[in-house]
Amino acid sequence: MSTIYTNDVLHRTHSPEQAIGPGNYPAVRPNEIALMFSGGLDSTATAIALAEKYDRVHLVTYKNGYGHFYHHRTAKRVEELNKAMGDKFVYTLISTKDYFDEILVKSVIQDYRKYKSGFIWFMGCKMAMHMRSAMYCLENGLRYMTDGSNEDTNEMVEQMLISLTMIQFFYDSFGIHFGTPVYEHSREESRELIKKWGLKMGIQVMDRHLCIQPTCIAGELYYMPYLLFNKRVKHDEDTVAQFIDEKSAIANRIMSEYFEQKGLSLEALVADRMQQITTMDAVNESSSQRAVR
Amino acid sequence: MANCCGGKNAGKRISVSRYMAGLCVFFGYHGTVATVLHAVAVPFPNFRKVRDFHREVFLTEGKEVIRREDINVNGRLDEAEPMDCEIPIASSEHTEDPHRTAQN
Repeated sequence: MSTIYTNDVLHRTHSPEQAIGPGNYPAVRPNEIALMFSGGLDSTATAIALAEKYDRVHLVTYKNGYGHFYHHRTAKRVEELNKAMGDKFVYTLISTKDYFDEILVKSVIQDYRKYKSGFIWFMGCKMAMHMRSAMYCLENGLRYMTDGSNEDTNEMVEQMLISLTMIQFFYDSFGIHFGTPVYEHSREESRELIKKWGLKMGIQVMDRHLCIQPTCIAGELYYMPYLLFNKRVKHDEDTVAQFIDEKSAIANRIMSEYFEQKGLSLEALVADRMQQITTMDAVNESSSQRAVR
Repeated sequence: MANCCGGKNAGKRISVSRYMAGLCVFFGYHGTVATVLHAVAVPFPNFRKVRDFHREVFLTEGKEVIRREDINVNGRLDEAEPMDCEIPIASSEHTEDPHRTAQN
């Protein structure tokens, strides 16, 4: 029996604006953007930067169901942001447990023997999140997806350049542009930006800020040897790339099933979206040419 | 010892007291999680795979930590050959990727 995926939203601060169904595809909204949001330093700095450029920022948070706690901290951060920046943010908390089970947990022992490193847990979890983000963008007509990945923390498997590049290709196949706006920002710049807007900084321990974002027990366990002993992390680019490639196929299958359960064809949805984007870009180009003349 | 692609702090020297304190935290945290997973996996069979996965990771990592593999306690690896890096270390040229700025 296949899993029912369509009932995964745990909390949202707004009602879904576009009802979708067979033949009823969402209109693309170019002035809105989505951000994978935890409430931590980097994603908060990203949220602020995006709010200065876009009419509306969709903050999306995920819960994987395995030792992933304290999501109320993220909700509090959203309240703070809306208060400080004038209700620019909408927030959705989504469970990725069923997707994560399908992408990794069901085959975790075999995958561990194959890839020989615990990175599979985080990359599998992150792929479930990116996949659900792609679905969110398709459902809400959003052209852009972002996250708070940062070069300073690129020892984390999901923030390695190879992972981000492959994830970008994944989004591209659905007509979604994925970006990491604060990748080259220093942590100090992010701190300054957050302080400037009067937002909470949490408890600072070395370079980390505690109690402002959800906790992931598995993440703490995997990165513990690195943090405690300066022991190198165990994931090289080739292995990570092979893993992402293998799991992207599963993610594609899940996406098709998700939209099928809503009575939609993923291919038709993407085709309609591409058509809208082409038309939109052509209109923008001709108006900018007129402005130049 | 080079830090290469294992993280910016990989291979940096740590003191014996930090290593000892780290061992307590490492085995204390992993041990607690192992116990909880074993208990949870009895009524919830879905957690058996997670429990087994954690046990394998814990055993592997635990052995490496005890053997001090890649851990530079008191500078014992300072004279060692730099780690081989399969890929070039990211430089500013490598960071000119299109995924950097969605809003641009």
